[in-house]
Amino acid sequence: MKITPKQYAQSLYELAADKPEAEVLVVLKTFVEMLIKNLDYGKIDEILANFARIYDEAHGELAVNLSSARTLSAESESDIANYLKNKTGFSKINFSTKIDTALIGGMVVRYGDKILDASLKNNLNNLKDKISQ
Amino acid sequence: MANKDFIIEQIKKQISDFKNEIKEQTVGRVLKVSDGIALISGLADVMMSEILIFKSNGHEISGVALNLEENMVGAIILGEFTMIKEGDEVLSTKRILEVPVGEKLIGRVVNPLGEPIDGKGKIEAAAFYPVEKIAPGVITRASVKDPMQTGIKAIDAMIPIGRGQRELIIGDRQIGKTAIAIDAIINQKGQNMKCIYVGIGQKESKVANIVAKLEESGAMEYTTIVLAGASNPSSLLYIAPYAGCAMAEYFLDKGEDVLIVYDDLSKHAVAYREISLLLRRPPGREAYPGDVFYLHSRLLERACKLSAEFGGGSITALPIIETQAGDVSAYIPTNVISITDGQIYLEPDLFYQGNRPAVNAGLSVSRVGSSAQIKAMKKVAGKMRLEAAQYRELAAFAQFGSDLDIDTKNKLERGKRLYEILKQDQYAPVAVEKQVLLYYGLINGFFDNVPVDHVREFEAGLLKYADLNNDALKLIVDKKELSEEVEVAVKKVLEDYKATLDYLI
Repeated sequence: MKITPKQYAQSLYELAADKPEAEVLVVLKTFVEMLIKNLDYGKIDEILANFARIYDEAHGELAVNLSSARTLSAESESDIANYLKNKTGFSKINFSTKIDTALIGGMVVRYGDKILDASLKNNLNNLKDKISQ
Repeated sequence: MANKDFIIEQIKKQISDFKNEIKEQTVGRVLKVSDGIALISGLADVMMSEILIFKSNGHEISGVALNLEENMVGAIILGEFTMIKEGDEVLSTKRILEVPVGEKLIGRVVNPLGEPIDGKGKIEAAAFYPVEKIAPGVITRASVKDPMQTGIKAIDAMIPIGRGQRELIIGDRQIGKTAIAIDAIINQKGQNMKCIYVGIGQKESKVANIVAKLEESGAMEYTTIVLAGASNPSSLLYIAPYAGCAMAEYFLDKGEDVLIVYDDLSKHAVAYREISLLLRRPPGREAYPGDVFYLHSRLLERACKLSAEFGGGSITALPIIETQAGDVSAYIPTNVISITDGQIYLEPDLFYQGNRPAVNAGLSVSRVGSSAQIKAMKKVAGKMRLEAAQYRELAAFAQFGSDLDIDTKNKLERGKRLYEILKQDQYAPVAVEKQVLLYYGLINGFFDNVPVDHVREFEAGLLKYADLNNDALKLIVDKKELSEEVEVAVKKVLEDYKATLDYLI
């Protein structure tokens, strides 16, 4: 049976999370050895991404990708964070922000599989579609 | 006339009225694209057979989710898949695959998504119907009792089809399977029937011919053509019959009768096999996936006759299956034979001997249709079937000996004439009352002194004569049975016409 990156990440989390550092080092050493034995070290990026997600989920944290046309004020950011907290039930929101002038105005919020497109670019595109109908 | 200011005002108004809703959407990313199949990561809450939108270089291409797995979603792409790249965004729509339906589709040629491909402009849909739908249940159904006249003599007499029946047309390539279906469509003129022809993997040139023929005979006034051509991706071939059926269900729900032709389901099975193998579903017999029976049974179950409380509409299905070298025991033919209520078996030998349509009366059956024949037809057809069966038996037997008693000889002579009558040209359906007249004449010996090589000429002349003095035909249509009064009129037509001839033996 092939082991998927998700399964690796899940077992890594179960073995290593909430353990003292010395123990974690031992676990990691055997984990890497197993990856090499199974010739699965190419999957390491995916495993790490999955691991980060599983870890965040277990600790009530949500990684959010926030792109906006201009730098957002701390106030707006906390508004968005509160909105997402209410919506998803996570207790902590980790933003990674990005400035994307191609959006013209507004912002795009991404988390997990979801996307919330409140950019002016998307808005104009929708208007274009509607008028050309 | 609208002036400049009016137009400008209208545009301004439209723009200011435009409200953009910010919707939260679920997205995934394309992991892999190949041969019309995409594997997508993400899309956690996608539904089975939900419409997906692939966003690629500003183009939007739709697809359908077919495989929901732990780590990814397998989808078929409906349209041009070469533009889609790895990493492209895929949006879910929360809508199950659906097609436009309505009266506006009549007379049009559309693709399986309901988009016009005949260049006659946009189609306004009355509604959208889901492509996949569970067939009507037992409570809502009634038994088949109204005839669906195909206008083909060999079929209406010996293998009658009722409204709501599923009758398979099966045979090798190039022996007139489509011709039977097209003749049946042409004969529905004035019979209160809507027709849908679903072409699956057909050559576009062949379909263009069919459209031209239907237009010529005025049949496009009640016919829709759904075409997934040979050059379309197999995803479109796969959904084509379901889409056609959804369009038929719109009329069914309005209590109307619909005839739907699936031409042909063997190519449909092949398209589904391709999709299944690409989605890595395990192959079974002949490399078809395990659910290939369900593929066709769920489609053909949707053909039905509804009871009066549920509108009384019907969908009659004529699926077509192409066999390889007459092998009806291959996987797909046996499947579809067991699903349908009978089959019309076309035989190459008969075709090449000139018996067209090449219907093999022995192997063809109709399991429910005889209850749907009109009484007059039932009366003559029963005897006819017997004559045909006796002739087949004797003809094989008579090859060995030359000394035959007079009774056998007479049977053989009549059988020869019967097979002459069953010959029929393409695109020339015969009305049911005329068929009754012909068969009545045959079983009562009126054809016995017509030379065999004059039978077709005699038939044509007789029908023309009956048209001119149409009391008898009218009586059959009105009474629908062979009462004494009708029999007298029919006999008179036959005798009167024969009196005008000089080539009788």
